[in-house]
Amino acid sequence: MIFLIINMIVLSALTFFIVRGISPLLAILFAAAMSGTSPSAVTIAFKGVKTKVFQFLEVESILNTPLAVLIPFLVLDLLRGIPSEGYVLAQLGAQIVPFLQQFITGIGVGILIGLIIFKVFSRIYHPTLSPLTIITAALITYVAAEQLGGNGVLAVTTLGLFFGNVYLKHKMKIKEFSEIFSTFLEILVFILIGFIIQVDLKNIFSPEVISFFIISATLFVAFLGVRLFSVIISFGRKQFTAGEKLYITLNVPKGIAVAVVALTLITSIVYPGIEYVFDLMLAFLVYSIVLSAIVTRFSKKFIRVEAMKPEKLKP
Amino acid sequence: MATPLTYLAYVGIILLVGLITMIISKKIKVPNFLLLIAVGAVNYL
Repeated sequence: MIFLIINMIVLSALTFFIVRGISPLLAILFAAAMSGTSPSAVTIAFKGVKTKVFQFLEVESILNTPLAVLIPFLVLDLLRGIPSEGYVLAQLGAQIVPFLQQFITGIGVGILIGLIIFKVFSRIYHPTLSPLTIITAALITYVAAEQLGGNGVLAVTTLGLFFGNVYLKHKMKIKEFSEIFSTFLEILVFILIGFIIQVDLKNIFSPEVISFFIISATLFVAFLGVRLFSVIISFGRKQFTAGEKLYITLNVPKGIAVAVVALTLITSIVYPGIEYVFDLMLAFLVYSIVLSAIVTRFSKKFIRVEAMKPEKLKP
Repeated sequence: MATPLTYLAYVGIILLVGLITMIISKKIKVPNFLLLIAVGAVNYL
């Protein structure tokens, strides 16, 4: 949480000042989306390994992902109501009431459908239909919230939190199906993200491309600096060693959350500077995954534990 | 004009490529996200 707050302040300010002609709200959106770490990337890397560092990274990624998705979508809704030119602050004031309405309606719809699902599941269970009901409920929650003027993502997040925190007899079986479904979506989203990345080998050394890489790398280094600072002020000397703190700092893989926010950003609204922010998001996604893979491969040097154990595929 | 069968074929091919990529990523111990993005980007080249 400390990292999220500091990162949102520092990274958004840096992005606003370094990238020319960008709206402050877009800078906040970018910083918020970059504050999360991917639970699936972290849990895959640390499967079967139990140490304090891995447990912390796992819990952190699970806790910060909903916020890293939610805040950008809320900012995106604000951006939709504000024209790209003119007095931003005055327009922002006028958007407060609709913004609160979106917030309350979203949470309300999520809780309502969550309650209905809970009542149904506590009485009826069907091995094939119950997992499908979850997917249907998520889709209906999103559509209902958007139709009622609420925030769909917030509604589905509320539903997810509700479902995760209630006791259901067959919850594990339902979760197994959800994991298969999420893997299917991950494949689609990441390959589509790859389709969008335009690698123009002829112009790779053009001033524009070089300037983009310098700016994105500078922002990424600043982002790592903010994370290191947050880790140092969050933990005392006794909790983690210097190597462990460095390992936590460098292990910030972005995942499906950032990919989805980036895809929504580029496809949903037209706003000055939005394409640049989209490129920055993709650059951060790639940098963070590469860095995390390298750090995980050499985890023994930082924490004396091998993180990525070779996984055997069962015949 | 693309028919529904064409779209279905696209999804099927993407999934097949994705599955093969994920199996390879497990074998060579590289994050599957990275390999999936790389496979998508290779298509552009």
